This record gives sequence, C-alpha cells and structure tokens, in this order.
Amino acid sequence: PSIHSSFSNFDDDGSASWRKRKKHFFILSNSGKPIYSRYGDEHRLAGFSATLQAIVSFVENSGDHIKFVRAGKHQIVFLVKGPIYLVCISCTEETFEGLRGQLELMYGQMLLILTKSVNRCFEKNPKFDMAPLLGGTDAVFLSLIRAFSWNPATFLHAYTCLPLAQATRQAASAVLQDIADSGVLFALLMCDHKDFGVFFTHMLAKIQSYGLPENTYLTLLTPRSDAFFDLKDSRARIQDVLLKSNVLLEVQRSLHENVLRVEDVPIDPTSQSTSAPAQSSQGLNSQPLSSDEAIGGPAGLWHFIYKSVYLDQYVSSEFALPIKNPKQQKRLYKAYQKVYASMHDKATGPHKTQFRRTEDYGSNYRNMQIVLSVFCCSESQLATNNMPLGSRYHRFKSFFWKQRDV
Amino acid sequence: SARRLFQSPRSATGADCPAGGSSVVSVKMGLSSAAEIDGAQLCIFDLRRGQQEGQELDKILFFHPADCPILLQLSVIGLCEGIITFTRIFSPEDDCEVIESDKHCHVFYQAEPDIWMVLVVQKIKDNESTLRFGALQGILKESHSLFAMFHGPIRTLLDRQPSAEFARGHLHTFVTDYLSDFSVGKKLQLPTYRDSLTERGTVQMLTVSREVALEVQSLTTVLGSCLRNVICQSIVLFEDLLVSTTLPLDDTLNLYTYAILRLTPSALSSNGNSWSYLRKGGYVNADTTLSSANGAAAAERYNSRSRDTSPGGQNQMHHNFRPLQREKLSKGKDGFVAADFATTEIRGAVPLNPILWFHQAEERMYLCVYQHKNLTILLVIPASSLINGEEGIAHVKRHLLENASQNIVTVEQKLSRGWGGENAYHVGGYRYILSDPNRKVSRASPPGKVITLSKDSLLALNRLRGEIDLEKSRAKRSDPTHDKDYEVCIRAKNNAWIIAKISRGKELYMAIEKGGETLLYASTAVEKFSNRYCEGAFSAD
Repeated sequence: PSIHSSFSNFDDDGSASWRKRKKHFFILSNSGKPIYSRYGDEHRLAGFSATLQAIVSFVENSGDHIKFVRAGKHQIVFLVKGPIYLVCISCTEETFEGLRGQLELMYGQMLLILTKSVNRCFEKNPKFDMAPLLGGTDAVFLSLIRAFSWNPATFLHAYTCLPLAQATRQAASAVLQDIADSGVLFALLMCDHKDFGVFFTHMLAKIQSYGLPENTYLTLLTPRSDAFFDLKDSRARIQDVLLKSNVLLEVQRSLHENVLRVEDVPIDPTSQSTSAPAQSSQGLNSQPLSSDEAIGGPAGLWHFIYKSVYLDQYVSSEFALPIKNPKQQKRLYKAYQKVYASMHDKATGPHKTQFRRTEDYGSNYRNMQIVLSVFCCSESQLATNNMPLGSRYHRFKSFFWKQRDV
Repeated sequence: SARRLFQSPRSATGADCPAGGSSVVSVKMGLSSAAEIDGAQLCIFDLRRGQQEGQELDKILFFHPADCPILLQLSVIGLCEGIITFTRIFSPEDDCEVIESDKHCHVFYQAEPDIWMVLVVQKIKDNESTLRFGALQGILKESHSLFAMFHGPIRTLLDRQPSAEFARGHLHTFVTDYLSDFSVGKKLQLPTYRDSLTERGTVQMLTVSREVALEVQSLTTVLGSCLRNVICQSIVLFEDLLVSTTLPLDDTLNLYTYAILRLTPSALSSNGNSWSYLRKGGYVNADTTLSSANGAAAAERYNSRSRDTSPGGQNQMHHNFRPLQREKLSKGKDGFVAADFATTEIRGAVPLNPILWFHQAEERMYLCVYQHKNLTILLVIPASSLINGEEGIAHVKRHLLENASQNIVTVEQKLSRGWGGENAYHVGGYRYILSDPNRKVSRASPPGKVITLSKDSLLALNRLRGEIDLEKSRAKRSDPTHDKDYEVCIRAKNNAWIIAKISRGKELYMAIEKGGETLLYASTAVEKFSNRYCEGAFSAD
C-alpha cells in the first residue's frame, strides 16, 4: 500500500469538516489515544491521533524533540508533557511562541481539572483512556481557546485589575486576609475577569468557585480535601463584609464608569511646538471628524495596553471608533502578540523599543522600558513623523501610571 | 495504518548493509550515535520512485554525507516524506517548509514536482535564532538552479533513463563539489546569523558612470557579433560585480553565480591556492568506491559508460565533467578560462567549454570565458548555430581576440580607475543590505565591515529577517500582485538600532550601533541613507 493511501482514511471520519478550520487543538496520550479535540469527535479521530503520536515518537526515538512543522500558512505545533502530547494545527498568523504558550495553558487547564495524578494513571497503564474523565468540560476548554484570541492576558502573562479607590481595594483585601486561618491558601475576587482582591500564593490545585452578584466571582483555594464546609463559612463571611462595606457597589460602578478611553488621554500642547510638522497634527485635530475618519485619541491613538513588568499587571483601553469591528480587534490582538513575542525572544530580547508599521490598519508603536511596557496602536498618517510619537510616549507614561489607581 | 509511515524499514532489499544486524538495532534504538548525526545532511529524493515495499532505496537520488549508513538515510527520508504527506492534508497548495526540533532543523525545497531537497542542520546551542530558514533554503535553490543549468532538470534525466544512473551520478559529483565550498574539515559550515547581511540568489552590480556605460555598451555589441548571423549573449563582470548582461534575469543569475563561484579572478586564484587543496579532504571524490553510497556507486558505473542523450548529454560523453571542480579550471595563456577535464581512458575529444542548458531560452549554449585583468567576459553561444562544436568555438575565440580586444582593454582601464576598492559600497555608521527581489539584485556593506557588528546586533538582525520573511510569504500568498510595505525599528538590548523597511517591493535591512536613543534618530538615519543611496526609495512620501 502506498504512502498516500495511508492517509485516505481521513476522509472517512468526517475529518474534512475540521481540516479546513483555522485553529485546531488536540490532546492525546503517548500511546496515541485521543483525549481532547476541539473539533470532530474524539472517537473518530483515532487514526489521526495515532499519526500525531507516530510523528512525535519517531523524532523522540532519534534523541530529539519536535517543536513545530510549517507549510505555507499552516503551523503544527507540538508540546510534550510527560505522557501527554498536545498539538495545535493553525493557519492563523500567530507565532510559534504564541501557539506553544497556548498549548501550555491548555495543559494547565487540563491539570486544573484532573490534577497531576494523571501521570500516575499513565504509569500504571500506558493505554489508559483519559477522554471520559474530561467529559462535560468542553465548555471550559472552548472558553480558554476563545480567550487566546480575545484576552491579552494569555500572551502578556499578566492579569488586569479593576480600577478602584484605594480604600475600597483595601477593604476587600482585608476581608480575604481574615479568612486565611481557615486553611485557605488563595483567595481571588473577580469581576468580569478583572480582579480586585489580593491573593497570596499561586496556582494549580483544586479550586471551588462561588458566585456573588452575577458577574462577581470569589475563588478560594485550599489544599485540604475536607474543607467544603469551612469554605462555605468563609464565603458567607466575606459576602457579609463586602455587602456591608459597599465594596460590591463600588465595584459595579467602577466597571461601568472607570473605563480607560483613548479619547481621555490628555493632549500636551507644549509638545507640538517642538516638531516641524506640527501643523499637520494641529490640522488633524481641528478637522471635523466623520465617524469613519475618527482618529481616536490624541495624535491618532486608537488603543493601548500598558503592562507593569514588576507587578505582572496590565491595563488596556477600550477600542477607539476606527477599530470597533470584532475582526479588526482580533487582528489587533494578534499584532500585539507578534510584537510581544518578537520583543521577548529568548535569544535577542528583551528589546528596549520596537516600532512596527504595516499596511494592515495603520501603525503600531511599542515601547518597553524596565519599569513598564506600553503598547499603542495609532493611525498611520501621523506615524510618519516620529517626533510626536516620541513625546507622546512620555505623556502616555505619566497618564497610565496615574490611571492605575483611580 | 498511517503510523507505518514513520517506522524505519527493517530491511532494504537490494542494498548492502555494511554493518549488518547492528545497523538495524541502532535504528530501532534511535539514531543517536554521535558519529551519525554529527554535522549537516543534504538529501535529494523523488517521491514518484520507490513506492513499493522494500524498494524505498530507489527514492534516494543523492545523500550527503555519502558514507552515511543506508538505514539512517532511509530514516531521514522516511521522516521527510511522512511530514510532506502529513502537511498536504492541511496545506495542499503550500509546500512543507521546515521541521523544527530541539536539536535539528529540516529545511525543505521542492525543486521540481515531486523532487525534494532537504537540508538537515544540527543546532549548536538551543538557539534557533542563529539559523534563518530563508538563508538555508537559498542553498538548496542555488544548487538546484546551477545543476539544472549544466545538466538540465533532474526529472528530464530520470525520464530519459529510469534506472537513474546518470541522474544519481551527476547529482553526486555536482552537489558534492558544490558543498565543498561549505566544508570545514569533515563538517559543513552553513549560513548563520553572521550572514544576515547577505542574500543568496541575487546579483551584485557595479555602478558605472554614463561614459563608461556607453563603452560597455559598445563592447557588448562587438561581443554579440562574434558569430556571423547569430547574436551571442554576454555577461561582463568586473571583479565580482556585474557590469552588463544581455541574458534574461534567471539565466543571468545562474551564470553570474557560477562565475562568482569559479570563474572570476578571485575565484580562480583560490582554485590554484594550496589552501583549497587542504580543504579537498572535506568532500568525497566521485571515484571512491563506497558501496553504501547510492550515488558513488552509480558514479562509478556511469564513468564506464559513454553515451547519454539528455539535454546536457554531450557533457556526459566526456567523463568527469565537473564544472564546479576547482582544480580543473584555470586561465590559459590566450586569456580564455577553460576546464581541463582530460583524464585517462577517454574516447573522443574533450570539450573545454562547458555546455549549458538555459531555462528561459530553452536552448543549449556553449560558454566561452575570457578574462583580462579584473574583467571577465562570459560569452554564450547558441549550440544550434555551431555545426562543428570545436571548430566553431575556436573561430569565435579568434573573432573575439581580433575585434573586441581594444574595447576590452579600454573598458577594463576605465573601470579600474573608477573602482573604489573592496570598501566601495561601505557607508560609514551603517551596516546594511539593500535588496530588490523582483530584479534579483542586492548590495551590502562589505564583509570586512560587517564583522565589526556585535553578536547581539547580528542575532537581532537575523531574527528580524526571519520574521520579515514570514510576513513577506504571507503577503504574497494573500495577494501576489501587490507588494506590501512594512517597517520595523528595534532598539535591541545592546542599544543598537535594528531596522527593516520594505517599500514598493524593495528591501532595506540595517544595523546602527553607535546611534542616538530616540526613534526619531533611527528614522532620520534611514531617511538620510535612503535619499543619498537609494534615490529616496525608502523615504517617507
């Protein structure tokens, strides 16, 4: 039988439907058993899973470890974690580092659900069928996969805070610290993916979630398996205190009001006199703007992300009018991810500054210093003279720093 | 099952297995013997061959190193073929390009339909930024282009002789000779980040004044009429730079590349240099008997035959036709550079002029090379217009000496006078490469100046070029008609500015190490360079 016929069975399992998808995730065991698949039915993917396993182990047998394969716009990225193989097949324009980071998060998600004892299961039985253990968790993985495109936290390796008054934040943190004695290792208060509470240590053990008002989440982490009733008590106590001290009201208000908008970034009149093409930026500011030509913030700023390297926190603005379209927003995040990967390449990074201009949708300007990272996206016409950008950067720096604590 | 694709064949029928059982064991256990995977490998295989079980060996057309055990060769090719087939599931239109693993990089190039070349490079450290896919693939493209110029397409050789002896024989000698330029001891030294400011597959041109250009023009006209009733094509080189060409783009590039490798004064001087004899140990002589090497065995058999009717067929009539073999090329007293392929046991005359197969012209041409001081003239004569090859060439040579000598001397004098030396294209404060992929032309800072850049700068530049290569491929796939503009300015961790700018199809890459701190400084520097040396091609509108 020829080589090509070995692959013909892929037409039988309905694989044509998922082969055309833009991004696909697979998790399989080192014996070739499918564990998770974003598209398609795992059971019908046994043949494909076996091929992936064969590729990985062929390379492993030669004393090497496969990282990725590229063919045109397709990348097939591999990640091996003990007995678990994770594969991403993508024709999005994401970088290898970005996709591998996503596989790491997928693995982390899997461990959150199943814990590291899966390794022991495979040690006992290499042909262990793990797929049923993940039954019902599809939504969790899909939500994570969606976050790869829409939540910059996934590539910034940082989280974002809800802007709150100091006093409010302290009140929330205090009540969480109070319950520390009851064996809670970790407590997290979140609202719409933005946290406003303090957390002690980190990650990877059993997590139990409780809901407070609809969009507020309290997450408590404990290593004790018998802590259910204690946690219930803690939750009730926390909820009481938060309600009494009006923290939750503040939080809800902050969500709606304290949004960072590019239009709010102050224009510094003194900077314009230093640049030769000053009249062009003045001219643009004074032109009447149609909704199509809206330039967003000052000097054409459309969007920014500011990451504090020390704190692993970031803030980002709302999308300005020119990039209200979800497709454009997705592309912007991809562009940020590319620049981030480029600036943080292990061998050549971190870069101090990176300026990147493409035809896609105008200009991207990134600047990173020791204390903070600023990512901005601005409109192309104004990017041609760099003096305003340079001085803009300094204005943004002070503005963002203030915005962190409202 | 699909898995079988990735299992090493247990037996290879029809092949001698030098180490017998122990080879099979070593493959089962993994190909981890240091001696086997040490250094780079280059293989050429045909997917239309060897599809029957047990006949896999037939796929292999060339493998370097030639003394690599057969089972290892089959294993490498098995992986490559498997990945090619696998990627075709998702990407039927785009070829498989690269497999990256921790320790190796497999670079793919489909030279002709179903004929693949793969370069396997060993990574020195766990640092992929040192290698750039485009630079490595450039080696495969260049070697194939040159091969096809001398021997015609590989597929044609195979079609005419399905047993593939001639194809394997020619590939073995040609590619081995080509790789000898990269040999350092027993290993191949392939392009790394230190070569970020070079671009294979482009011509470097000499800028001449209008007055000199007119002189060159009249020389070309005289050269063109060296054969009555038929126009001869010509390429004129000064030192290692192109002065003029009457050939179409691809043929110019191929011939220019060959000239730089073997025919120009600097190339010839390193031929006769004893240094090159020391390096000879780096490649395998085609006459060696190594039963485990497909190609070498075939080369032996081919040496004892006499006839082959492929396009480059007349070359095969004359044994050991190896246009890349350095020692055979030299400049005669009459000023003509020729290859002396005379060896023992030859039947019939040995042509001293290589015969070329030009893709664009689709015609066989004789190549005649004349050199006067630093001027090299490549005269290309259509084979069809010379009834008796040898006599016809001699006549052309006489005609050239009689009628073009004066022009040649004048042009050489004028070019020498205006020559700025090896640092002619150095621009103080900048280390750059300018490239026009559409015209296949480039110009860069001289190598002597490039090595002053720090390792950090070169690494950052190399990595940036890799990123830009990906962007360019994407842009081309989505819209092949439109050249997308692109610009990146990086202030690297060592404070150097690393800049890439693509504007209307032209490319500029540069590193500025002692520069100002601001982005304004960097963009002004690019603007100045662009206005002064690129006719504003990279300046803002």
